[in-house]
Amino acid sequence: MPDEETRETKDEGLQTAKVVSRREFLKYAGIAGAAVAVSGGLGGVLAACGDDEPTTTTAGPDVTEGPTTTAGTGPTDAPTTTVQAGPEPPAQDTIRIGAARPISGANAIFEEAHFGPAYKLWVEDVNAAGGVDVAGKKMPVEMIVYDDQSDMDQSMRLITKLIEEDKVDFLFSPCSTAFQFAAAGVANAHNFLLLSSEGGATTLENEMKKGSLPLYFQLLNYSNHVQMPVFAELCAELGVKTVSICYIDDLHGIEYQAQAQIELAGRDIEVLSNVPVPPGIKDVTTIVKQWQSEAADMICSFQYPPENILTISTLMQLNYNPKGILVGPGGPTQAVYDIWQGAADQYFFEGAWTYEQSPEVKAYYEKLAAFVGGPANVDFWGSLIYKAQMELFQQAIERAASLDHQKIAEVLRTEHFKTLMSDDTFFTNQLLDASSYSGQIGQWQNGVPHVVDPGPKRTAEPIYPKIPWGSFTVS
Amino acid sequence: MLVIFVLLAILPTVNHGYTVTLFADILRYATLTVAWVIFSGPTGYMSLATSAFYGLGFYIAAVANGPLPFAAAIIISGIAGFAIAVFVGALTLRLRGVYFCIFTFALTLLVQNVVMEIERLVTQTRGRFVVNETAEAAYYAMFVVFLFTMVMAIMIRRSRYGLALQSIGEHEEAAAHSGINVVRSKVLVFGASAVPMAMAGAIIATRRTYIDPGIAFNLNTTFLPVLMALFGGMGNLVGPVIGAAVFTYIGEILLTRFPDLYMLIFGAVLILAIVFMPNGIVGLAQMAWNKMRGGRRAPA
Repeated sequence: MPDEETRETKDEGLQTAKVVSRREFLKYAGIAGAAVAVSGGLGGVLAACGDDEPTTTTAGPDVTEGPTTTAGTGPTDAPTTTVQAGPEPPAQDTIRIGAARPISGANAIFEEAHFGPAYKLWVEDVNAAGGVDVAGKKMPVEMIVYDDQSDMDQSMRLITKLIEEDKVDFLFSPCSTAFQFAAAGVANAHNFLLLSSEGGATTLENEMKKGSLPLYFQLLNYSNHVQMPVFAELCAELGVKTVSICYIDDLHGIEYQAQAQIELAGRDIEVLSNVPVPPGIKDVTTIVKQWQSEAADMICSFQYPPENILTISTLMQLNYNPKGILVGPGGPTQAVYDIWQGAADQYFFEGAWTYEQSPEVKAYYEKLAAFVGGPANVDFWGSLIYKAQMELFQQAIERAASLDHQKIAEVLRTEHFKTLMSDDTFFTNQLLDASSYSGQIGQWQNGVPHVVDPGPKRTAEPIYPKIPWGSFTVS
Repeated sequence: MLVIFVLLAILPTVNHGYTVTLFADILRYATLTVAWVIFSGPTGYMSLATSAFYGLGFYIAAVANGPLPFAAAIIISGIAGFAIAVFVGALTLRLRGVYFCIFTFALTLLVQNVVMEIERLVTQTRGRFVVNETAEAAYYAMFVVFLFTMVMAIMIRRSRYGLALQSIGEHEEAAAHSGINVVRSKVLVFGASAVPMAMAGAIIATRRTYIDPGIAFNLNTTFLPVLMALFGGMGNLVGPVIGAAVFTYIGEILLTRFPDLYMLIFGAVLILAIVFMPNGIVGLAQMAWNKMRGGRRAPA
C-alpha cells in the first residue's frame, strides 16, 4: 500500500521508490523472528518424528507473503518440511477508495448511469457482506468521491489530492478515454493500480507495450479490440458487399473508421464513403442523401449519442431504409432505443451483452435497472464490463491477500477469474482478453438486445436485412 | 515579498505531497493572469486568446519533451507563442473593442481546429501522449516562469511601452497623435504576453500523460484568468496574483468540502465581488487602508 514515504521519481517506467521506515523494519523483523522461531520449532519436532510426510505448507492462499522457513533439511534423508506463515492482514480496518468522477459537467451521465452505479452497487454489496476479505480480515470499503466537473485539470489535481493528501488505498478511474489515459500516468507515477472501463483506444496499446503503464488494466472493448474484426466477420456472414461510414471527428471516430476500413477490406467489402462529422452537428441531411445515392448494404455511424440519434432520426425522416445500420455509443442504451418507441428496431450496436444470456445476468440487470431508476438507463455495452471490473478488483485483492498494488497487479496479470460476464475472465498484456467478453456486436430485436457475434456467444440470429423503419413499435 | 518567493522556492524541499501540486496550479493561474493583465490591463483590450497560446504550449511539449530537454520544450513553446501572437496581432490589432474580443475568441477555436485537422489528416489519430515530468520538476519550472512573468510585467510597465499602453487605454487616437506607434506597441506587448501563456501550457502538459485538442484548448483557461484578474484587481501586479491564489484555493476548498454547494457559493462570491469590489481584493484592501489612515489622522 502506498504510504506517506512513497515518492515520485521520473523514469521511463514511471516507477516509484519506496522507503521502509525504522518502525516498519522493526515490525517486519519482529514478525520474521517470531515466524522463524515457530517454524524452526515445528520443523524440529517434525524432523524428530522422522515420518515420511510430504512437504506441508500451512496457511491459505497461494500467494506467499511473510516469512517462509524451511526446516529439517540436511545431509540426512529426512523429509523436507516447509512451514509458511499466512499473509499478515493489514493493520487498518477499512479500505479507502478514492475517485474523481464527473458528478457535474458534460460527462455526468457516466456517473449517473454507467460506471457510477456499478461501483456504488459493489460498495453496498461488499459492505453488506462485511467487507473485502484481506488475509482473513473483513475490511469494509469507504469511498471518497470528488466532482471533477468533467474537466481534465480538476480531475488530475483531485486524483493527486486523493493519493497524496487523502492517502486513499485505491483509485477508481475517471470517465472517458482521454481522462483515463491521463489518470493512468498519474496513478503509475504513484505506484497505484488502475482498472478502467469507461473508455479505451488503440493508441493506449502502444504505451502498454512500452511498459510505461505497468499498473494499468484496460477492460472496455473498442475498435480493434475486437469490435471491428467481429463486425467485419458478421458482415461477411450476412453477405454485405458495400458499406458507407460517417464518424465523429475525435479519437473514438477516427480509430473506429480506420479499423473498420482495415477489417472490411480484409473481407472484400467495399467502403463507398467515409465522412467525418464534427461533434455537436445539427444537420446530417447531406450525409444521408449521399448514402441514399450510394445505396450501400450497411451504414456505420461511429458517433456519440446526440449525433447518432440525429442520424437515425434523419434516416427515418428521409425514409431511407438501409439493409443494416451499426450504431456507436448510445446505440446500446435502452433510453436511446426507446426514443423511437421501437420504430428503429433491428439496428446493430457496439457492445454487447444481454440479460438473456443467463439467469444471474438477468438478476443483475434487474438490480441495476432498479438502482438507476429504470431499464432505460441500462447500457448494453459497458454495464456488464463495469460489473466485471468490480468483481476482478475484489477477487484480485482477496487472492493477493494484501493491499499491495504490485501484488494485486501481479494476480491480475497472471490469474483467471470467474465473473458474471464470463466463467474465464482474464487479462492478456493488461487488456481484458477478447474471449472474456459477452460479445462485441449486438442487435435490438423486438425491443430486446441480443449478442449477434458469429460463434458461440450469439444469443439470437442476426436479422438482415432489417425491417423498414416503423414496422415494429413498442406498445 | 522576498520572503514569499523564498518560501515558494523551498516548498518542494519541505513538502513532497499534494501541496506542491496545488501550488504549481496556483502559480500556473497566477502566471496566466499576470500575462493576461500585461496586455489587457492597461489597454482595456479584452483578449480571449489565452487558451490558444496555452494549448499551443501543450502540443509543443507533447512533441518536443522527450526528444529535447524539458527546458528546451518550454523555451520553444515561449518562442512559438510569441511568433504566433505577433503574426496574429499584426493582422488584427487594428481591431478594437468587441471586435478584438470576438476575434481573439475565434483565434482559440481556429488554432484548436487547425490542430484537429492536422491530426485527422496527418497523424490520423486524436491526441498525443506526453513524456511526464515529476511534480517537483513541473513546480520549479512553473515557479521560474512565474518569476519571469513578474519581472517582464514590471519591466514593461516601467518602460516606454508601458506608458504607451496606458495612453492607448485612455485614448487611442490621442496616443497616436502624440507620436506613439500604436500598432507596434500593441503587437509587441501582445506577443510578449503570449510567451508565459505558452510556457505554462508546456509545463502543465507534462503532468497530463495524454492530451487532445479539447484538453489543450479548454476555454476555462481563457475565462478563468479574466475572472481572477477581476477578483484580485488589475490596478497593480499584486492583484492578479492574489486573485489567482485566492480563486484557486477557494475553488479547491469548495469543490472538495462542499461539492453540492460549490457552484452556488462560487457564483454568489463572484457576484458579490464584482458588485462590492469593483477594484478587486487589492482595491478593497487599499480602500480599507486609506480609511484606517484617514480615521487615525482625524483625531490628531
